[in-house]
Amino acid sequence: MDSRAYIEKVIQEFDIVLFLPDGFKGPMEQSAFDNLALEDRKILVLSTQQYDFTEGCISHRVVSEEEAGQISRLYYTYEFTDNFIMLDGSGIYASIFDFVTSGILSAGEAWQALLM
Amino acid sequence: MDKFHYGEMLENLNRIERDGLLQGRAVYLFGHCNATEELVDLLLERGYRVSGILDNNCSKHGTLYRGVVILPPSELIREAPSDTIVCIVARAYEVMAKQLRKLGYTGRVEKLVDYNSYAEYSLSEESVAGRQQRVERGIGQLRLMQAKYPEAYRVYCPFSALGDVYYAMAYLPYFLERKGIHNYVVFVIGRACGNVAAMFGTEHIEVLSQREMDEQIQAVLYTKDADAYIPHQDRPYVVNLYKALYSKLIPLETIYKCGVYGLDMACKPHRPSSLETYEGLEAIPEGRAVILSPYAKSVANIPREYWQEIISHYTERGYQIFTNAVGEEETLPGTLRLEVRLSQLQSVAERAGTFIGLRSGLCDVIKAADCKKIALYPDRFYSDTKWKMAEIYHLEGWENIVIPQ
Repeated sequence: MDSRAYIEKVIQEFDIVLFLPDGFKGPMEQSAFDNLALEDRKILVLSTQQYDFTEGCISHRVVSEEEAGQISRLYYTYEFTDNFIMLDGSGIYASIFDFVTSGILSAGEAWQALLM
Repeated sequence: MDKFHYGEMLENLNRIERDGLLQGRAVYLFGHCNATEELVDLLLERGYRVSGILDNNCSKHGTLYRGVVILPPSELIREAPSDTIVCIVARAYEVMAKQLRKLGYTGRVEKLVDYNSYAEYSLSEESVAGRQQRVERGIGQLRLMQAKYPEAYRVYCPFSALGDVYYAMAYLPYFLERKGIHNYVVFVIGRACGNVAAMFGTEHIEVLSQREMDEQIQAVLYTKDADAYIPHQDRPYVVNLYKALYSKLIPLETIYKCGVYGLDMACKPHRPSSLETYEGLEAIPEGRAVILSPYAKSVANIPREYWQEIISHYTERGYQIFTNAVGEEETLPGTLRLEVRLSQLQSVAERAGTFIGLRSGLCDVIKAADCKKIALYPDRFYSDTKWKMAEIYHLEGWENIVIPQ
């Protein structure tokens, strides 16, 4: 995959592209995604793992480790759009899911806020 | 909106006015936030009518700011595109412009502020190559810092805001203790933020320019530097902590304590340990003076008349009033000027007995002062959230007063 060309295509096609490489340890259980008010937002999830999303507006594609590496490097080079979100648990900065760990937000509230 | 970006907004507004893009058109703004409200103020001052503020947050629809209604973006399509212009001073220009095009809007969309040195909304080969050069510059700077502070953990405060640095420093010791770190250096932007970091007894502080900070942080991200941390709620672009505010009201201090550093709610902040006593204290009547702090870099001012009422009130009661000001900031009429170092401000407030300030990072710097403390808030929303500034920046132990528009 030419990661640059692929990302260019999907950020045009989707309202939000959510990239979950291997380091992501956040809440992915189905209950966290139940009843999200996503309205007519089109969301694409890219990940190295397989997930089952039952929310109709969420599309999903599994990428290889190599593809994930290319996408990650591009993401950390600069902000090429404001509708691409990467969650990798790098430990270099905090994430909205730290509020879930501390009990301030539920998993559903965190996903709702992130995907609004 | 901070002074730098306000200046940029003004310059671009002048430009589009000069180019005749506003006259005879229905003016819409997109994205309801503080910056947009400041643009409304400017446009109304210049005699323009603002037809509406477009916003995707349906809980705001139908509400008004100075008579300007907040509308769903789809309302724009009712007008002929040639008769309209949309001005954007909110942060997410690209996604907003894209949304308008998707709705079928073909009229003029003007970006009046560019907030973000990390961003270039293009994936062309030229853009990627240019940005990779920026990363290389940042890596070069990183190497220099690693040589200057061998084996030191690096903490980057990415935004030049006194309050942000204050909270970052107040809870940093817990974070470092958890990681077993004793050798660290704090990077800040500008001398004032360096002074705030120094108030906490920090041994190693590096003061950078905004550009140096942005480039080093980009390099930290690109190299996935395990010996660095960026304690902030919304900068740089990779940080999504602030989005929690779309779901729940979380005061700023809690955002730092529980979000940025992952600490327990019961955790108490460290207090500054390296404060100084102002050498001119004897000129301040003990317990019978008021220190006014009317200026803030990134907060809208409150009307001058309000400060005059405060001055009259306390003057009539025999208090000596001081204006805390620096550089070109004016001394309020009827007051004496006071220019003190940040580390001395607490001693001044405690000597005076009363501190009244426009809510800004300066209030955080003296939040533990033993005196009467009043924080004044403009009646505005925090960024593009549904929470008011007074709710996010609320100070415990202070009298928090919202000034109506």
